[in-house]
Amino acid sequence: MALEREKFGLYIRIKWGLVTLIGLYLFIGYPLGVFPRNAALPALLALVIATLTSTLMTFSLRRTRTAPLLSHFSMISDLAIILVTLQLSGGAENSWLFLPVFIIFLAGYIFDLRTSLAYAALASLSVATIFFLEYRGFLPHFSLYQMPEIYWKNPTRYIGFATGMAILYFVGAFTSGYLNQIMQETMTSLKKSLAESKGAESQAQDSRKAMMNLMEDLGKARDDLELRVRERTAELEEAKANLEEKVSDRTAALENSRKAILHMMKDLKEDMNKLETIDRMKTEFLSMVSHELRTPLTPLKGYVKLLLGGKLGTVAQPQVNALHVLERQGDHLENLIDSLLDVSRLELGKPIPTKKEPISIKKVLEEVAEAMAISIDNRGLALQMDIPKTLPTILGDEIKIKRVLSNLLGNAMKFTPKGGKIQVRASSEGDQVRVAVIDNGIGIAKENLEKIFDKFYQVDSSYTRAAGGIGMGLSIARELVGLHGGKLWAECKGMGSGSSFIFTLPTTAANE
Amino acid sequence: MSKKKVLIVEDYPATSEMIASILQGEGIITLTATDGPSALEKARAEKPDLILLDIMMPEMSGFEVAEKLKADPKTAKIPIFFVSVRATDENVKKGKDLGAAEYVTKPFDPFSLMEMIKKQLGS
Repeated sequence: MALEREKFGLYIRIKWGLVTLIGLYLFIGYPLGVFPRNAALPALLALVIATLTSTLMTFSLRRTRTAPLLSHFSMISDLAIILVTLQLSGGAENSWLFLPVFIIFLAGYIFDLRTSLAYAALASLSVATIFFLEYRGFLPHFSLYQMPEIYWKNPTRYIGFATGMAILYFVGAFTSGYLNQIMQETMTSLKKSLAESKGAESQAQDSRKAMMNLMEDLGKARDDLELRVRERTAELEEAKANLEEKVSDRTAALENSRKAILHMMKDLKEDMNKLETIDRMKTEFLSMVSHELRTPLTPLKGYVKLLLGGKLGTVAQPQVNALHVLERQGDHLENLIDSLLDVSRLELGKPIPTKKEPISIKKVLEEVAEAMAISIDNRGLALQMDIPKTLPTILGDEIKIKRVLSNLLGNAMKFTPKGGKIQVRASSEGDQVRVAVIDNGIGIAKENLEKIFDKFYQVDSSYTRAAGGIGMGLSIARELVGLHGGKLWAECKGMGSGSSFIFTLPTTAANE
Repeated sequence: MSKKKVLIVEDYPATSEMIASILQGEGIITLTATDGPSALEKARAEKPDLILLDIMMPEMSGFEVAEKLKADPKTAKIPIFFVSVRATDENVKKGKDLGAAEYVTKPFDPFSLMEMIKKQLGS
């Protein structure tokens, strides 16, 4: 359509050119006598009409989109104008009858061969019709050069001229049609190749673009990757630095802790050594003290014995009584010192020297009871001995067993209020002798039944002072019984119901 | 029969006095020394029939004194009684090993000590 529009535009421009040329020819040729006089008026008329139609077409072309219709209308009207004008100016006399060939040519150019042929046919038919009508006299003949009728009123001339014009028209039609066809084919192929080339180009361009994009993407990806790698590397570096810092911190902390621990251990060791030293010193001191105490005790007891034995002169009864008290107190003192010594021996891990002699437990019990009878009586307590007539002998150290028993009796005395009763009950049980010291005193709380055997333990320190004891009796007693292969323990049914201290000793028979 | 002589080696005067008083009551001559060196000196000079030897003394212990007495031919045959507050088996054994006739622990019964001395001197 656009193409036809353009071609039609060309048609109009050619027409304007023709109008101008014919106009020039008319306005210049007429005064010079070149332009035929008889043709001047129709030519002028035709020029005016052609100018009008051309102007109309020009404007129409700008406004309308129906170029083909406008083209046909213009071409047909032009053809009509030309033919009418030529008929009015000589008809067959006028050689300008070739003019329609322009229109036919342009029809072929604008449209195609078929259209140009149709126009050629129309023009030929129109010319033939006009000639025929003129020849027959249906149309008046307007003479161009005032030639005699014989000259133009000639069927041969009419037919020949019409045939010549028709041939011209058809040649023009064919020429333009073919040219158009060739042109169109060329155009098509050109367009095609152009399109192809465009396609190829666009494809190439696309590929190039894609390639570029890909390259760009790759570049971006690489940059991105590099950036990330750099970032990651930096992060890793930082993490490593942090880690190193942490590790060094931790190591330092550990080292500090280790040093602190070592220091503490050293301190502890020192403390322990100190404590051990102090403990050993204490024990040694205890040992030394007990030895030192024995030294003055030796002449003390010796002289008492000598006095009582009359070696130093006669002694009256009151003095004898007093000397007996001294003797007993001396024994008691020795006992206490021995206890101290035993404790120090235990502390130092030294064995307590213990004799292994067959001793009569019955005799031991009776002697101790006898020795303590006065004290017990003085305290307002009753002592009950519950001993079978015969008891097996035991293998051991009489002094130690006596010490155990006197310790237990002493305790019973301390913790039994005035008017109370102390009972010593002995029995033979299998290969053992069982001795129980039972009182009806204040008793011992259940939780203290074992504690009382701890060194220096006393249920209540106030008792210790009141009773004047040193509190280590029971632990030593248990130790001494243990040295004999026996056991010592306490029993109590409840506070206020008195307590029982029981020890067992293996008989001589059991030892053998 | 001449009077017997007993050397009492004891750094605690009350004890040595007490022992001396028993012995003197029995008609025995007593000599006293308060330390090892003087004991050795007196033993050599007086040649006593018995030496009662304390163990815990300053400067020289009774064991050392006994060793020296036994080492010296002049005094080697004099019987020795150790008299000590140390009553452990260990000490007793050591004393006997050094050739002591008896080992008496303090405090002792003066009468039983007297019996032991009489027995020793009588033999």
